[in-house]
Amino acid sequence: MKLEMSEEQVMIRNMIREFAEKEIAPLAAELDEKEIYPAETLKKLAALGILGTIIPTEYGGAGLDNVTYAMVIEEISRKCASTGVVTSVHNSLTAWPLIKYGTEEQKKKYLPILASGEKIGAFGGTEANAGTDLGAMATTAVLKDDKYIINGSKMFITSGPRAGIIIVFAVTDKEAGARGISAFIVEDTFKGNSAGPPIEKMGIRGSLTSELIFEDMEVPKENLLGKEGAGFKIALSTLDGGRIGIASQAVGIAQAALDESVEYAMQRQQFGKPIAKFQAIQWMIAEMATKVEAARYLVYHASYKKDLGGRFSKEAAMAKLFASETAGEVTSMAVQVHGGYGYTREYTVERLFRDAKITELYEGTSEVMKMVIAGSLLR
Amino acid sequence: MVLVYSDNEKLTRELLAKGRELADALGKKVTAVVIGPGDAADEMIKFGADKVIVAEGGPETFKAEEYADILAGAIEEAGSNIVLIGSTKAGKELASRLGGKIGAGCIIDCNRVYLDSGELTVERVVYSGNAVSVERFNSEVKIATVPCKAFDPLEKDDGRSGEVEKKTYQVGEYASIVARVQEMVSQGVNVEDAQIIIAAGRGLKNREDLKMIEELAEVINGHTLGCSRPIAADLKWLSEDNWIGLSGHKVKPKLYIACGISGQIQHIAGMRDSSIIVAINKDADAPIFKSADYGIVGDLYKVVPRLIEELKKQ
Amino acid sequence: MNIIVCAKQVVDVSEVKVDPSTNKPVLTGIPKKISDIDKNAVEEAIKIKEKIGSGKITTITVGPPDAKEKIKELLAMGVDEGILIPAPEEFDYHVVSSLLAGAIEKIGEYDLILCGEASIDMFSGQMGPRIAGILNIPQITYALKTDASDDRIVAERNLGDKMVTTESTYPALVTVTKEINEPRLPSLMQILGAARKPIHDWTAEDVGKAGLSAMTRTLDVKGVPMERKNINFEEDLDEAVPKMVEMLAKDGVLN
Repeated sequence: MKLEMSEEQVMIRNMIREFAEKEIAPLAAELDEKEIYPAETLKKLAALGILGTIIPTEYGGAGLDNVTYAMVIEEISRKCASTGVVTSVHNSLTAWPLIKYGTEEQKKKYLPILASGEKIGAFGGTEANAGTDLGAMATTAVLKDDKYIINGSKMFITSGPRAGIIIVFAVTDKEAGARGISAFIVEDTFKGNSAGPPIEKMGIRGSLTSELIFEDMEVPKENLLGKEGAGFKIALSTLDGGRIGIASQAVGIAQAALDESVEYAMQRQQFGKPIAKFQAIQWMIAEMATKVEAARYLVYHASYKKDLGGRFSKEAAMAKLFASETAGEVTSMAVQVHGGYGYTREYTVERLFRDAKITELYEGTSEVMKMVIAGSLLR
Repeated sequence: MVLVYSDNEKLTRELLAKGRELADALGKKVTAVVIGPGDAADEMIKFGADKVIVAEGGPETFKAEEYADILAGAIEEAGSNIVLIGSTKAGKELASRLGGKIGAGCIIDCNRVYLDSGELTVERVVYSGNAVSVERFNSEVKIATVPCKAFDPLEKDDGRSGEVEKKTYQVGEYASIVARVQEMVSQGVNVEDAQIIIAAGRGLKNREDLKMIEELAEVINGHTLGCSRPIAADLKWLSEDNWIGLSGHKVKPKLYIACGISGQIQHIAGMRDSSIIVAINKDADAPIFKSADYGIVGDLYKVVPRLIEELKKQ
Repeated sequence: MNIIVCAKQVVDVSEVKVDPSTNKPVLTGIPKKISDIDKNAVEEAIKIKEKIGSGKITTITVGPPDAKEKIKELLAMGVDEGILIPAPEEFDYHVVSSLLAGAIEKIGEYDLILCGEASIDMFSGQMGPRIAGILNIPQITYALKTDASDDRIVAERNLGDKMVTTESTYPALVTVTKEINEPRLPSLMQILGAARKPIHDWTAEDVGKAGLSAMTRTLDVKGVPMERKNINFEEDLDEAVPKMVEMLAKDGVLN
């Protein structure tokens, strides 16, 4: 077993690190404070090929593996979790199902504009009354001539007000339960498609999140993704991959909290010496670093399993469970290391603490992750 | 023979003092080279030169290519083995080209130059201020460039006498042409790249008083103003581009002068990587002094003008 | 248009710390990179090539084998070929500039040589002018801006107190400052594409410079302790200010 980055991976990580340091970090606090969407940054990420990280080269992407993709999302999230989640959703939840389930025509039409950043991707699965319980979905799609007419609404959609291509799930056959759900490729310009106002959030405030409302929305028949009734399977397999993205985001947030704490501990003087000299601080730093490293390797492992092509639901769930809980713990400890200053807006750890929480909630809560893990063991 | 050259008059005197010291210890002579009009030649003798070579026929404006040819000629003729050149930007490119041309060892920006066991030894700052490198030469001709104010000039001695000789050296033909020379206009430098930053804090009473801080920046060739949070975020006397601190920019200049900044931890986080930090504050207990190399406890309205005056003298 | 850029691999000086027990800078285990200003030179070369519309950019590096990883970054940015020459055990500016000049002569056909004004670790600024001196070609130093055409280059140069505009026909050597441009980051595709570009291994013999010996030697590198000096003046300003200015001058930070 080889746990070593390739030369290309080192170069890619360094490139993103430098980009994040120069272009993402300076904006992060303001995006958070004023709830500004990272539109300019996304254009620059597109120019670097990052919005097409996993998109095959024949469709204008970089065609990279999932381990490298995890590194990319971690490095972006390390400087700005909002930009991180937008990039993750764009790649994992929009591009990936298109790559996996799209027809050649669909891929040709949509993947290049995702890779170039001309359109940003979103994923419309969750509803107000149907979170994890996709079976309770109320949005419907009815085929009428050569169009599906979709009615309903989707909740908590990352990039909702800004996305140009949304993978939307709707019920095409009420009687069939989970097997009656279908997936559609929806464009923002489709008649009857509108976004609600951004929802005010605790963290990742730059990744505008909103409701999407479909009122007799007309979707061309050829925009059905996969077969009718395949939506549930598409949603689950897509979310397995999405969880790797979110786990990477969590590792990035946790790593940032560690970075900030190390710097602060060396700098902050109390009782005539840097607080780094106190064992209480040293133990916290050691624990934080160990957890971050463990989380990172779980993420790499899940990504590697995905690259191998077999099932990786359990590994992805483990990575997300552990990484998101690590982000929660480590950012909390980081605030503790900073003392009262850590509770103020001027210090980054305050934002990290708020950003971390979402990773335990979206694309499946920690409890759902445990269900997935247990389910794969106890059969 | 010790050969001395700089295009800067003051620096030439400082080089002459060091050249004199080395030459006396080695039982040698000091030759100064002037390129162009030799008006200052007599003066150089009074400041320590034994001989002054006035090189004629060179280009009117500085060009390293021709100047290196001239110095190479002077070195060969005078049989110099120690060459001290002033570390202005022009001096550095000249010394380096000369080193390449005649195949000599060259060491740039020597803050200390001395003889150790009879061998010429120099010290220079490396790794962006983290270390001092002690170096010696293996070559016959040894070229060292020396920055301003590293050495004190000798007292002028009107009684000294020496020889002034006019010479013309063989100069090559080069395709480069100096098309235009302009005074450098001070321009806003990105604080993160600035080498010298003068920063203002809450100690400043009025917006107009920034002029005083600007003047200090001007005389010290800094051109770059910084400030603490209140000046940028609350009072908006300077823009966020000038804001140094945790929420502002992180800077690492070689010199940081904090005027009327108390030194909150958030500010320190932005400037702690500076090589040398000077603090001016009237409160002797201000935390900034703990993070400073040099501190002047006093009213910045008195200290800054005095500092400007002193720096102008330099 | 054939452009040659000399690029040095350095330790990331912002990571260098002094070990208080030995009073030496710790240089092992520090990340390495291509010296920042050399990257500016590479960026300028790419811009010139883009402007002229044709040509080839070659970088030459004197350094250890691990420099290849960093040369790949330059290939990803847009350089066409890299050359790596190992440094002899004892080397200095004379040795390295001679090797670079030898390699340039071996390449033979060149119009423009670009270098950073200085490397970020030693900041001597010798390399460009030394090479120009060896090759006996014009040198245009400290360029803040260039305007290159098929037959000549014009550069605005920062000489501290003066702005000097210098122009020259080719061949010429130009050293650039950090302000001249913002080096581009390579895209993912460019990084992946860099693997197909060559990095040649040349030796001192190959460039006709075998058996060079250094003209300077380093006796010691002493760490400068990071502790602040904490020298405070409280009394008479007329005494304090000149004294402090003198100390600043001795520290070498006033120019």
